[in-house]
Amino acid sequence: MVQVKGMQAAVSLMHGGFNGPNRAAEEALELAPDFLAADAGSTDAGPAFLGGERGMTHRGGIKASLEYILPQAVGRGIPFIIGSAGLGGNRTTVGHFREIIEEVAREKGLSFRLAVINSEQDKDYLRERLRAGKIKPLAPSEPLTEDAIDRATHVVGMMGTEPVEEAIRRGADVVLCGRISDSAMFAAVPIMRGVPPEQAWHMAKVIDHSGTNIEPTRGVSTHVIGIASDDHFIIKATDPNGRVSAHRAAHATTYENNSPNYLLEPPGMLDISDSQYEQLDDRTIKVTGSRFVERPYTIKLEGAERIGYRTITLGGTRDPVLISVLDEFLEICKRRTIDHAAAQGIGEDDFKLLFRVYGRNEVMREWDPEQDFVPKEVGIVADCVAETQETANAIMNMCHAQLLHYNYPGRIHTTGNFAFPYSPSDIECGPVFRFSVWHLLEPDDPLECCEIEIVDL
Amino acid sequence: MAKLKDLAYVIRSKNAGPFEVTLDILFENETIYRRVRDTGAIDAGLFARLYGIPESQCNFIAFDKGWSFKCTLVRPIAAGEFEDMDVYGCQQYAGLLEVEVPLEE
Repeated sequence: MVQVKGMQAAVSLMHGGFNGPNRAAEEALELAPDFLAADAGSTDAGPAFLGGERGMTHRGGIKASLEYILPQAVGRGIPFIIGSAGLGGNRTTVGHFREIIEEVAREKGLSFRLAVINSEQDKDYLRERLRAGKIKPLAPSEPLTEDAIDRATHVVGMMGTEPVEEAIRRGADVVLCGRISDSAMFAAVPIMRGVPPEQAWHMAKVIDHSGTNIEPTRGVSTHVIGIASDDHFIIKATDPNGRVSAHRAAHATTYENNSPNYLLEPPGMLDISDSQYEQLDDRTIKVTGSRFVERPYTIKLEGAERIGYRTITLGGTRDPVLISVLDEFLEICKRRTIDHAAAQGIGEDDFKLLFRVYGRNEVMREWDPEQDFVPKEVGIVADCVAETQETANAIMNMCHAQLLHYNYPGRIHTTGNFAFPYSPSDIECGPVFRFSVWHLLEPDDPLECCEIEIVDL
Repeated sequence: MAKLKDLAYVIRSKNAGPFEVTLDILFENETIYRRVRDTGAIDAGLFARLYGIPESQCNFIAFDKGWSFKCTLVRPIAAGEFEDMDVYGCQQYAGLLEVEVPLEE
């Protein structure tokens, strides 16, 4: 009977990066996992980290994480897989991670084989696939166009397990991946060692959301280890006093997923509608009954394009008169900004301007069940996106003047309409992106959508 | 009557990709989950009324194994678009907190 053990690496490559040594995770390594994986990616934080040239996590946070985990993984000979480097996993941010890994290896005197797997898609390849009818929209996207391919700053393909398997077969100790399915990072080693796909993919999903399986217990800090087998998998708390609960493990598939029962992965669909979660003891659960239905192989494409550059201004008011006429007031400010801009040769189509009113249903807008109330205080964000940073700055400069000084009917003060918290009041935010590609690509071979480079450090 | 926020142990929203937001109501034990489910108070119609959208656009499921309800909605504005106000989709659950369920607490 095949048996493969895997767990999350005890570091965060997102959310601020390293947050200190993790004793529980170090002790867990005594359980001799067959692999460690760390997810560094997501589309959650928006299109900027896919479309742009910067990852979400600052360099120092990533470096500290890798300084901590690389010696442990390499020293014990445990394959270590990093997925979706930089958040979006584009070529630039994978390059940043590679640089840091090489730096840490040099400084710590570590020697190992690194595989760098890029999943940024070549535009000629995408055009060829599109013409061949091999790219289909993922709801609710529209069909892809060659224009959209041209406009995208980065398009990545979400890899399955095959590139990681290939890298490990080629002797990689550390596998740095561009965009990859969260679950594929955890399913790759089990699949290459012969674990059936239904066990490998379901276990992968549960380990990926490890934190949600653990029943909080006072004074116990634990991780979980997954043990995949032929006809079931086990999830176990790594600490003898840790507790894992069956129903919490069932929740793993609901998180950030539109269906709790079906999960589409590159080689097919994981169907867990009949999975059984059995509590073996406080520390351990056993999962059986999962199914995997093979489908034509698909790679999810994620791409983003730049829509301009942003400048914002923040302000607040608690003047009841201004609050009572706020919508009209903001409309006039916008109109006057547009007129003022025209006088300076900036056309109305060269920029977009909107006001966000916090304290008055900005968080949920029309989805908020409570619509009619008068706030005592509101915060506003004036938000401009224009073709160039210079234009966005110019517009916000005119706009903040209107916000501050426009004399609305009933005004009792003669000074300024908004409390601006900052000097300068206007804040340059840099390039702005939107998700523009959200499609499925059918490759002829799972490995054709990536490049694997082997580097001996 | 009992409020959903007093019956559930997690009420949350989160993106399911940039174009959808998924709402989850999770219960601590199966007994409470079944009692709430059997009232019929939590269904696609509830989400349609709360969020002001047609019931046909509320992808609702009562997930018995996970002692939870899930409803997925198409975002009016994709995550990160110029007009978007909740990039992560993580603050769209507040309307569920005060929902009344016909149960004694």
